[in-house]
Amino acid sequence: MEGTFYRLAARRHAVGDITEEDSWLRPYATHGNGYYKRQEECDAHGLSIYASEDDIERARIFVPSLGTKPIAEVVITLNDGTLAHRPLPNVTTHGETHHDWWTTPHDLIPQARVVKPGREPE
Amino acid sequence: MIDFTSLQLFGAPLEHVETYIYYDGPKALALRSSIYPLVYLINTVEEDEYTGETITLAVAMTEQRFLAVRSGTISFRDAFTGAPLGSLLRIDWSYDEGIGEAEDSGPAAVATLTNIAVLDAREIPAYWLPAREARLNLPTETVTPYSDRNLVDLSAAQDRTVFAVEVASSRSNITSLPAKTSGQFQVALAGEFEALAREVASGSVAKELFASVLDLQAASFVMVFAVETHSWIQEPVDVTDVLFERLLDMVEAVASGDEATFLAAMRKHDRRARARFLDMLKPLAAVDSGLTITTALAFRGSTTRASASADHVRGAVDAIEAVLPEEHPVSVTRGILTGLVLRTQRFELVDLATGDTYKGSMTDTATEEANGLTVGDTSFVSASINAVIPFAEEDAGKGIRYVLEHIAPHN
Repeated sequence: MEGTFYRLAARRHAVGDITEEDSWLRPYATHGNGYYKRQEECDAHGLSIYASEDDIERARIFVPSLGTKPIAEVVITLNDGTLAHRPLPNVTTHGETHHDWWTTPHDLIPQARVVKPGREPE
Repeated sequence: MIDFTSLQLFGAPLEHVETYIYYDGPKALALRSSIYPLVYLINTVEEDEYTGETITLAVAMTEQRFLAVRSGTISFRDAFTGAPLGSLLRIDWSYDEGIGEAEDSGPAAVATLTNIAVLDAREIPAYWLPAREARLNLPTETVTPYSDRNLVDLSAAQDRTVFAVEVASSRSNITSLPAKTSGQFQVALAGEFEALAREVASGSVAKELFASVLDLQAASFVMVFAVETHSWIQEPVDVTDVLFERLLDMVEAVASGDEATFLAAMRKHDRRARARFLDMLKPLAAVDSGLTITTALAFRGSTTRASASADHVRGAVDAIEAVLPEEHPVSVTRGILTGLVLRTQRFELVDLATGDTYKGSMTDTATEEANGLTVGDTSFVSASINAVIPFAEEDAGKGIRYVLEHIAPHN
């Protein structure tokens, strides 16, 4: 599986920036994630990405803490690891295009470009 | 991970209802009190990317308001900005350890509640609010389902026929039947009831009966009617039994989906009954609604039902409207011309043989022929008139259009 995917990036980024390590924290290193500190779990290494920009935008308009994060676009090829389409279970408003990505190499920092700035409060 | 269900809020213990947004954990979700009819809507408004410190808002609301938010009637933003005083809470969470200390498993994987405070909705910072366009729009059962059993109980308690009309709309986001549609339908149904009563019983009996709205249930998708009488103590069940049998037959004819069958069933009734039935179907067709009528006849203790889908309702309306009006020639050998306006091509005359009065429009030929004729008690004429009778219209002459085709003085 390959194609263009989207992820929320660190807030400090502006449109056109290339994301860095802080935009690609694995679940085992992310506070609030169910896999925080559970490096032995496979899913603790999967990066959440969305095939649809609309899906990720939907998360941003509902949740103010996500709204301030910019959207980064990343192009993934077959050589970049394993992608699994895993719609978020029991999530009612978005998540159909959610994918988990196990990168190759495992600590890859993808070269994603910020395509949308964080939302301004209305 | 934040464990929202552990929150000791009013009405706790709380049960997870559903998650709306999930991004590295649930961010927007609903919790329901297991004790009171109370739902908490939770949203994550601030998160420190590096320490994990998180601020969430929780707004308590009634089940009814929650359903309005869930169905999109109330925006996600307004669910918070419209929170009554005392119902909105700010909840702070933290993690004991910072980022990068993930070497060993420990309590930092679970957020710790650090503060809960009541917040005035007017003081919510703008950057803590969802975007204005955020609306859940989830298919939502907004009301208690209608039950036939209630209809039987109601009929038994009141010793009269009670009937329910269920409508439905396939249009998305409609959470109640539009009031205009409901009103049009109720008026038409009252008219149909009267028309069928006139078919079944004598004029005096029919005048005594009428149908009135008892209740609107399931967000007005179910209209409950009762049979009323103006002055009688008891409902004439011999009349209402037949009346409802005919009404249900008409609905079943709609449900047949066969145009010929449906029109044949309609032809069993007079034009008034057809017209009122068309009036019932038209507003439903406009909102893509089907139709189900359930009757609990007086003293029966059971229900009878007939149902037609939205497609069949629309098909029935199309079928009636496609029927060409019938045309009948009327020959008046000796009549009196009682009205004539050549400019607007209108006429009125009385047939001296039958006493019938005809009035309507004139063809160009008849207008030329009428030029010079006078109107009055001694203005005797002979005439050819075409009577155009629509398929579904008022009876007793109303709705019949008369077109004067030829007229000549009668000596």
